[in-house]
Amino acid sequence: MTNTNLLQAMGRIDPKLIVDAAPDVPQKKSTNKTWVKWASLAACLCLILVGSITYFIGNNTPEIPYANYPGYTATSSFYYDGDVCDSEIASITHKGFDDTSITLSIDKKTNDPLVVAFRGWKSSNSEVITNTAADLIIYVNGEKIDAIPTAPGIYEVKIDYGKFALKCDELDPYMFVSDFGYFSLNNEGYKIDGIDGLPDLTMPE
Amino acid sequence: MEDKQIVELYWARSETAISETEKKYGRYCHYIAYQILYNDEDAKEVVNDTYLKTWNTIPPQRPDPLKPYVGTISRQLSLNRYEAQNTQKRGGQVPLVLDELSECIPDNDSGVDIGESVALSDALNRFIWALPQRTRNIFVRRYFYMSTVAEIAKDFSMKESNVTMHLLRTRKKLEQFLKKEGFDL
Repeated sequence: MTNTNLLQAMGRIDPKLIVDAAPDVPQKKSTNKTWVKWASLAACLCLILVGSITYFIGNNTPEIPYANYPGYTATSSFYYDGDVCDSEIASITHKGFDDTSITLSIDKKTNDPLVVAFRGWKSSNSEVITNTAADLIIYVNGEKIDAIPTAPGIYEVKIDYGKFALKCDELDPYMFVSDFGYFSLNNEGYKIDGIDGLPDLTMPE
Repeated sequence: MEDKQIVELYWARSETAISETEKKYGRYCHYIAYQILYNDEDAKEVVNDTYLKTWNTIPPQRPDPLKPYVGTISRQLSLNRYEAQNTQKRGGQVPLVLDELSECIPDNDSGVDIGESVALSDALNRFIWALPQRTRNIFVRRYFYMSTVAEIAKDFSMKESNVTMHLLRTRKKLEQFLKKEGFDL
């Protein structure tokens, strides 16, 4: 046992002890962090996109709604033929981007860690039954890495989408509005390239 | 905003959770990081890493209260960074605190296994809880928050020499307690 072990063990003491002895540090009155501003901007963009973008499935030509900067954000509203609501639950699969060449480029050192947000699925008018978050997988020299890099460079990326299922809305069974599998990289200096459109959709049979 | 509401925001994957955490605990986390790293830029980076780690761990975690949760993350990330950077030359409280803790446990480089680590945390908790409230808070301020003796003296309206003596006696008690508990010192 070493003094370092004891120092580490102090980090696992009862949370109440930590609260009771906390130094009197004033709270912040406002935030000035650049990345928080970007995060807020990205969130606003998402809301605007959700309200304004329509993505038609079937005979309609899909639009490609996404914003590239400060990160990648994809949202959609889409309509179904009535058939899909014969069942109570409409299950939709978004395929990943395995077949495309996507890179994450970091062009300058930033003090802010990369924040990948909103990697799940949401729906504004239907109950989400299952929700599998999209996974951003980053590779360095072909090796998958666990931590999101912070050093400048270009990294290979795969985006692995999962499935989600929505409950049909009895009042409006033919339309779902969802934010699907999108994410945003809320950092200046980080950029995703190589995404040419939304992931393929596999509709319920 | 209440901690529970902030935690709910994390569960809802709302980025507001991060800005609310920053507003409420940003300076608190920075204080902890700075005491260890003694460098403003590094401390700021650790605070941002703390938000990221909090974002990545809630869910599944649902900490209540949130303060010790983010504080512990900041402390651990700071110690990791300290170790990585080998910032002994920079100063800060870590070398001093380590030196003081050597009095309780001589640094014999024998390492510690996970079971012993859990037992040590458990024993520490029991030891600290058994201390009088004032002594307990002073001890935690020094060895969890790594506040300077001068700062503790100011916050507890004591002379620095009294704080030093207080800590010395508590460390002696801790040494005896750990021996009694069967730890290999």
